[in-house]
Amino acid sequence: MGFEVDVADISNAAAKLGEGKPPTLSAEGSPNVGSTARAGGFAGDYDVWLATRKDDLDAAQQQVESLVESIRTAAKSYHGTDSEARDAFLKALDSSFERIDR
Amino acid sequence: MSVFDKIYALADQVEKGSTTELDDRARACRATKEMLEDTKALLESVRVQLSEGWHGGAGEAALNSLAAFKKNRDDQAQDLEESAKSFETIRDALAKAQQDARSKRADAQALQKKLDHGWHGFGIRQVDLAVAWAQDKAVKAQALVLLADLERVTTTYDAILFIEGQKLRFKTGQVWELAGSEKRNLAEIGAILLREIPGLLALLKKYPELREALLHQDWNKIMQNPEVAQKIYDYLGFRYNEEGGFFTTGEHSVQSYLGWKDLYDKFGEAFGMKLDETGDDGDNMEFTDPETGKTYRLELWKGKYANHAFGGEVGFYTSDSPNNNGHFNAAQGDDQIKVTQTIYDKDTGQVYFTNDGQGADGTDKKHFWNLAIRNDPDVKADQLHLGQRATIEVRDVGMRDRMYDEMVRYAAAHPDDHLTVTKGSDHPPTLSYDWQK
Repeated sequence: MGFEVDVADISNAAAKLGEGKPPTLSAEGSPNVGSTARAGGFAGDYDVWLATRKDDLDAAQQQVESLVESIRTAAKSYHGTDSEARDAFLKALDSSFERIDR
Repeated sequence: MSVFDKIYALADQVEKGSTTELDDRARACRATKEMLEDTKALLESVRVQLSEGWHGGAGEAALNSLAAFKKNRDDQAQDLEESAKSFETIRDALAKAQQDARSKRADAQALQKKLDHGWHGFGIRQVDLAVAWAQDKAVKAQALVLLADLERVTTTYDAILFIEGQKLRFKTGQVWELAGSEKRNLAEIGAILLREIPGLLALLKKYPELREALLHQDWNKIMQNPEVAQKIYDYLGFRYNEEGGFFTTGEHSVQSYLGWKDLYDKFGEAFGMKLDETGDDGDNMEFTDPETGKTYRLELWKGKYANHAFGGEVGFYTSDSPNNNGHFNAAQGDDQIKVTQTIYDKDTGQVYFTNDGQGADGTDKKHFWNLAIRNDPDVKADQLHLGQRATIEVRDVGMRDRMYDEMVRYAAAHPDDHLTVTKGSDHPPTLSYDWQK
C-alpha cells in the first residue's frame, strides 16, 4: 500500500483525461452577415478568430496528450520496491509538466 | 441609379444576411465551451490525485503546472463565451436592421407606387402633367429621407459589425455604447441631399469653404450660399429670384400637390423653420361660392425658414364642395389669384422684399401660391419681427367680397393675429391686408 496506490490513482485519472473527448469547434466559415460596407472586414475578423481558436484548441489537446503521456511514462518506470521511487516519480512529473507548452 | 434603387440595394445588403448562421456560431462556441469544462474537470481530478499522493518534497511544480493548465481551459471557455455573445450581438443588430430595412423598403414601395400612379392615367392637359410633376418631386424628397434613414440603419449595423469583429479578432473586451445612434441626424439628411442632387457637388467644389461645411455636416452654413441653396430648392420645386434676392416657387412645386405640411413634417426641422400661420388652431379662412358650391381656402405664413432665411407665403386652395374633410387642391385657372406680397419689419417698417407674382406661369402673375423667402447670412431670422402685407386680386367682385368677409371674420376671431383687411378697387377686384402677428 502507500504510494503505489497513489500512483495507480494518478494513472487512472490521467487515463480518463486521455479518453476525454478533445474539445473542438464546429464553427465553419464566416457567417453570412449581409453585404454592408463592413461585411468584408468582418469576414476577415472572423477568419482570424476561427484560425486562432482552432490553434488554441489544438494546443490544449496537445497539452493534455503530453500530460497523459508524462504520467504514463513515469508510472511505467515506477518500481514500488525502490525507496527512491516516489521522489523519482514526482520529480519526473515536475520536470515533464514544466516542459509542456501552455 | 435612382434613389429608390439605392434604397432597395441598401435594404438588400442587410436583408440577405442570415441570423440563423450567427446563431449557429454562438451555439458552436457554447458547445466547445462545455467540452473545455469537461477537460478542466478531468485535469482537476488528476491534480487532486497527485496532491493526495504528494507528501512534501517534489511534486509541487507538477501541481502548479496542472493548476495553470486548468486556468488556461477556463480562459478559453471564457473567451468562447465572449465570442458567443459577440455573435449574438451581431445577430440582434442584424435582425433589427433587417426589420428596419423591410419597413423602409415597404415605405419606398408605397412611395414609388404613388409616383407611378401620379404619372399614370393623366391626360395631356398641362395642369395634370404639372400635378404629376409636383408629385414626382414630393415623392423624391420623401425618398431622400427614407434613404437617409436606411443609411443610418446600415451605418449603425456596420458599427456593430466593426466593433464585434474587432473584439473577436483582438479580444479587446471593450464595451461600446451606441446609444442614440439611431436618431435621425438631420445634418446627415442634408449631406445625402447634397450628394443626391445632380450638380451640387460641383457647386461645392466651386465654394471650397462649403466643402468644409459639408465635412462637418454644417447644414446651416451650406444653405447660406444662395447658389447652393437654390440647387436644393430647385430640387424641391423652388426658384430663386435674383433680382429680389428671395426664393419663390413655381406653380408645379411639391407643395402644390401635397401642401406644406406633408413635406415639412419631414423637412421643416432640417430647414429650422419657425412660422406663423393662419389656421393653426383648426379655424381656417374658408368661404363657399353659393352658386357653385365651390369652397376656397386662403392660408398665410410668415417667419423663419432657416437660421438665416425668412419670408412669407400666401396660398389659395379650392375644393368642389364644403364637405371636403379638409382636403383642398391648389387653385387652378380662373380661381388663381394675383398676389403682391411684402415682407417687412413690423417695428421699423423697413421693407425686406416684395414678390409681385413671381413664380407664376406666363405673364399673368396669377398663381395659387405666392412665396418669398430670402436667405441672408448676415441676418438671424429668429430675431426678426416680421410683418406681412399683401394685395390680392381675384377674378370678380363677388369672390373678393366673400374673401374680404371671411378675412374680417377670421381677424375678429383671432385678435392676437393683428390682421387688418381693407377692400381695394372693383376694377380689378382687389383687397389688401396687413398681418402683424
